[in-house]
Amino acid sequence: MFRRTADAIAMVVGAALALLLTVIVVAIFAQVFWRYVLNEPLVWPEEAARYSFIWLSFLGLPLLLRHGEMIAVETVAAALPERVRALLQGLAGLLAVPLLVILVWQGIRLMDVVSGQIAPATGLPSSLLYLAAPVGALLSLFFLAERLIAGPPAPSA
Amino acid sequence: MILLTLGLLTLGLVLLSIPVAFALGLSSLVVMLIWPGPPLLLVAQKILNGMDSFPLLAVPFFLLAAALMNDGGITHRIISIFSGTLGRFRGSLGLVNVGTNIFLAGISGSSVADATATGSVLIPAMKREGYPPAFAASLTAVAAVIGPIIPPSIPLVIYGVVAKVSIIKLFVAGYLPGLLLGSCLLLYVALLARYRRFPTQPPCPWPELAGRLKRGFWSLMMPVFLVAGIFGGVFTVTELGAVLVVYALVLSVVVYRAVELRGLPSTLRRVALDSANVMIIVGMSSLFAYLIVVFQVNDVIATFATEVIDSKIGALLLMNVILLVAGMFLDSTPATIILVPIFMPLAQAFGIDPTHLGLIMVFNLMIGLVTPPVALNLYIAARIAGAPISRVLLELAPMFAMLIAILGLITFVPETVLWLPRQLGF
Repeated sequence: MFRRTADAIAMVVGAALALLLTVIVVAIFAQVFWRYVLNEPLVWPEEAARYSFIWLSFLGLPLLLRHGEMIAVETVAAALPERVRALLQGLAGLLAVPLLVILVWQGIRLMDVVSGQIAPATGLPSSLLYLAAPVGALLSLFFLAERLIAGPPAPSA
Repeated sequence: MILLTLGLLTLGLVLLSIPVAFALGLSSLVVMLIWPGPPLLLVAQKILNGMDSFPLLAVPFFLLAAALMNDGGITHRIISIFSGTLGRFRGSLGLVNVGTNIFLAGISGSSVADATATGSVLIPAMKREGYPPAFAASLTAVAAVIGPIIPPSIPLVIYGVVAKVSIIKLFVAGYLPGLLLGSCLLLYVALLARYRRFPTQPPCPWPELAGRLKRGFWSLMMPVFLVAGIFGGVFTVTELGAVLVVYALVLSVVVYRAVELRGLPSTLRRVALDSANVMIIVGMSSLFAYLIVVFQVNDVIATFATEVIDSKIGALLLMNVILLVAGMFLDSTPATIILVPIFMPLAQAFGIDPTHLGLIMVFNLMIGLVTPPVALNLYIAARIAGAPISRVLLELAPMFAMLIAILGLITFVPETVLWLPRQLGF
């Protein structure tokens, strides 16, 4: 049950990642086209792309964490016996918890601080940008819990 | 004390194979809890502010363009052109390897991507022709170092963002050092090929070569357009990246029909994850770098260094040593973000140009890609070649000496870096 929910969430997040990257490419290419070809610079693309990129980064984190794909130095670990390595992996997950909890908690506080502010070009609320951090960190905690309860997931395609 | 805690804790966690991003974040957190001062709210704020930057958008663009170029057969076409032209010389495949890497360097921003792309095609081919696998691996690993020195370059983007230096100027400054390294490698392979009797390929007949040139024409034009875009000084680096992506997309989907639209979402997802991987480290390193500044760790280091060192040469030497060691252990992104605030006061004190410093940093950190214990390029190439690391290291030694010599040259003769941008009015 837990595994199936996690798989479904991972699929949705993965689709969101592809979509966000598409938005970024389209926005900046539109900016280039309108500025240099039509000579009518647009104002929204830069902001839209920046917002999307922050969301992309924080939504990527939980999936990277789920499949153990975060950039790490594995030289020392590779020389250790299998059991110690598994232990280290558990430790990595455990150590991530305080950091993620602070990201959720302080990220929400940060949204409070900027509440009411509006991004000048797109009219999006500034808190939408900061929302990415708590959402990404919460999802990461969820996938860590999945690892703990249901074991490591099948490798992604 | 703070310096020691930050440094040792991070290094310890990284060596325990804790993800680099978490190691940086956790040691920052520990310091903030032991030495109260900056409120915890800053954890989220500094991480987000570090990531929220327009030029950084070039990172996913360069990664996406590289992925499309590989899937779209652009890399293959370039290799076929180079083997058509260089095939008749002794040690041809080695020359093709370096040539392709120089070329890819001019359209791709990531060294590891270049090592994978050229290595997966050329290392097996070199082995078939009787090159020692260890040589094929070490040559590919070193040739791919050229990638981020010749623009476009993700490490130069990161440096430019952190050091607040014009990224386009950094790009222009990268061409000469990159081409210098490329030429030296070509020369080395050509000389070694005579001495070790490396094989040649049958000469490629002219009509065949013409056909390859025709098939690869639009791929060949890519770096030309990029040079024009960079030297023109009109585009921002992000805009260049977006144009590059669209160019690679049109080429691989419409012209070459090698990439199907159905497969695009999974490529996008993959590249988004790779970008997120870099960006999370950018965020955590920004928090770390902020603490270095707020606790005046960088001032302490700068004061100490200026007491011990009394010349520009000494300062440059010190920075090079620190960078080489950092490059052995750390990925270039965190190393850049953490070391720039430490080096900047030193550079100012000794009158070192920030563009010059940028190339020195990136060159050093890219050498780190072939120096163990953390040597991504080397491991990838060795794995493809199926060669033991000890053998690969033996083959690497002379090329490593060459890397250090060129590093020395660009460090102590700043004109090798700064001449071109000045000529072009940057």
